[in-house]
Amino acid sequence: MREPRPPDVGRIVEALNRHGVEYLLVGGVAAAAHGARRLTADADTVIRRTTDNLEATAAVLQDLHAYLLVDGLSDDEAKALPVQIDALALSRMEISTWRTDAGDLDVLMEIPAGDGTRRNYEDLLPRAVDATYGADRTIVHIAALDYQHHRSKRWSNRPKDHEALPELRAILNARDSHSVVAEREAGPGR
Amino acid sequence: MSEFVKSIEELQERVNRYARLRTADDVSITWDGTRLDSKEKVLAFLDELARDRATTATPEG
Repeated sequence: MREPRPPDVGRIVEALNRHGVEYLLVGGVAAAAHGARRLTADADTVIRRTTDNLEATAAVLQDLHAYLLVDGLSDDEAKALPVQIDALALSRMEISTWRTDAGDLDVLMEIPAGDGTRRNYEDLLPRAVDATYGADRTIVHIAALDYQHHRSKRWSNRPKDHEALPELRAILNARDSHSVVAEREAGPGR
Repeated sequence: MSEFVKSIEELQERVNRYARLRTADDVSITWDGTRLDSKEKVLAFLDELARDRATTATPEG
């Protein structure tokens, strides 16, 4: 399988917003938004787990010509798998990893929290940073660094997540996440 | 330390600069913990979905 290129964040966000998907950016791309420099070449999202939202997400994946990433399979072999991308398929996967025209995109339903429980879209949204970009005022919900990344990675068993912890901790110590939210809320014209 | 990004373009620039290769542990996982990390597992998963779709499509009565 060919090496992934960095995700085209703008294109992914545009597709998600155009289809009305309720989602949060989490993982490495979200951490990069906060200033982190350790991230993998994929865009991670947590989506709201409703039938309509799963259908909208499936439409995004179809638009982006997504195919399921499977270790050990070439791109052509992975594309040849008879995956029907729909709400049912997405609903059965806690995490689904896709390669798309816009790079690698992971769709998550929940992420582990620091207390052994799990957090879904509704749990993460209140603490997300609402970033508004561009002339068209595109709104992107980006998971708060302190709650999502630090606590979920603390409980992750993956070596790369543990490697990322020191940097995330340093960012949190250097900057208060609440002040970032306050800055956004007090933005120009508000 | 970098501040919060101010644009999609800035975010993309950071992603392009710092993104590293995915690792083998980035795989799809079903709710029962099955890691879809082989063709066989994916096909078994798809078979289960197909059975569920067929059951759902079966007319009642």
